[in-house]
Amino acid sequence: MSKFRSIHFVIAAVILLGGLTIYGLLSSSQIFHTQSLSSGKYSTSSSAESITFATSSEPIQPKRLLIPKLNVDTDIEPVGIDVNGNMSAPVNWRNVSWYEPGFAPGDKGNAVFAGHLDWAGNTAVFWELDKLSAGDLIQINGDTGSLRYVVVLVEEIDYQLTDTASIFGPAASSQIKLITCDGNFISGDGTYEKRLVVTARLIASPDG
Amino acid sequence: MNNTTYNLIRFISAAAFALTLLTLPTFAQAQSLEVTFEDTPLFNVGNFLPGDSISKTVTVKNTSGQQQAVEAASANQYDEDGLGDQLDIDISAGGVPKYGDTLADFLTAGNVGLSSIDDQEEITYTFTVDFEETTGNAYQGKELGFDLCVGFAGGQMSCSHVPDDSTNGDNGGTGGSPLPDADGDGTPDEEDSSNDPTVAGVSTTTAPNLSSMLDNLDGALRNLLSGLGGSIAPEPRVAGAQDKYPGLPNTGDNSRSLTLIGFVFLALFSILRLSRYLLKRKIT
Repeated sequence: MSKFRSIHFVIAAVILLGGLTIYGLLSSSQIFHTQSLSSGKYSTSSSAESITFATSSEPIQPKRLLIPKLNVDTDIEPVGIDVNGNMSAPVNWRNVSWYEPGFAPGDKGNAVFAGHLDWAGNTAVFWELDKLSAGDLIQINGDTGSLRYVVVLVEEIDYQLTDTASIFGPAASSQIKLITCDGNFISGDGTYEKRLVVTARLIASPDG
Repeated sequence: MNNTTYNLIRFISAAAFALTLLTLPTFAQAQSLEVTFEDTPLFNVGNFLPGDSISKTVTVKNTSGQQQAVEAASANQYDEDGLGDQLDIDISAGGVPKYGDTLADFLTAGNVGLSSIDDQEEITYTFTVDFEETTGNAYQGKELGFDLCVGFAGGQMSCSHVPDDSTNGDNGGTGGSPLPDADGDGTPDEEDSSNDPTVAGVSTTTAPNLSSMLDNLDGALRNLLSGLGGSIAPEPRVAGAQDKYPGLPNTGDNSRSLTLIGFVFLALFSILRLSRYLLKRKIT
């Protein structure tokens, strides 16, 4: 009988280890990302350098967000702040939210978009946001036109950052900020310890 | 008089005195005029930006027994940076404009007639200050200040200094022009004892002593300008700019990880049950 028990323990241990290994593999990209990007570190790729940035443009009411590199093509939900005074996340985890009281795409300032990393057991719209790097293109479509942005900065910041003027405030040119969760999950706080913030600058349209 | 009675009288006196002090800031009554302020201070403005506007009301009731003309004036003005050219002041009553100009012009206009007021009539004046939308960065961090004086035409215009512990500290410390001189004798009225009706015998029906009300009114308006000067950081209004920015969004619930762990344990449990079943069959 003890032999049978031993077999049970071995099987259980193998399954448990296997499960943890799978979990580790699935999470590894996020952990690697956390370690590979230090706060404030950024680079500009050669492709970004060849692009002509624009200071501003006629602002648009954003409807869809496209990130070709990540195969993201999603609806945009205008939001405000939640009960905690934070920018609201999108209701639909497949969508991204846009902080409507702030700047609109095209304005000389930061238009801020947030998307879930994961939700209800699914990888969400910004699950692979950490794969973006300087030079990648992002497009915002509105009813009155489209604006194209190029990634210039990928950074991690603490989720408890209190002075968020650099995220939501004015800027020298039209920029967008894409935000999602990052780092390790803090069970006690019910959130991740970091936020991944991708900054992209408006580029001049081909016709000028 | 025993101690208990003495203490009771002291208590009642102190309470009455305290009640009087509490009432004075919001309601002042003279022999012939009552002034009620919407707030105390009337204005307390912070972070005043180009395009911003603020309105407050002051209610005046004439109890002098005859018709009067209400006037307003300024004193102790200081506007070294020319901010007054970027601010507009409008005074209206019942939606009817009574006065409107740049604050800079108001500060140099002397006595400004607002309206006539019949005996027992009550008029609510709305004081509105606008920050011109086109103002640029040149006016960031600038200050101005003045005391506001109100009285009946031809009567005493008395302005007391606002205590230095107003919202911006000593705004009056920059000097400023002399107090209004309603009687034209060359002496600022506050310092001119000849204008004190109790001394000079000026009839309270024609020259009511407004000093107690003016203490409140000019203090209230002084606070407005203290707010303008001390708390305002003039900067161009930018579409999308916020006075306060939100915190960062919560965009993950880690449920993918939790779900994965759940599946692991479910699989573990199922395999254990299966192995137990198989072992049992083997035994039997």
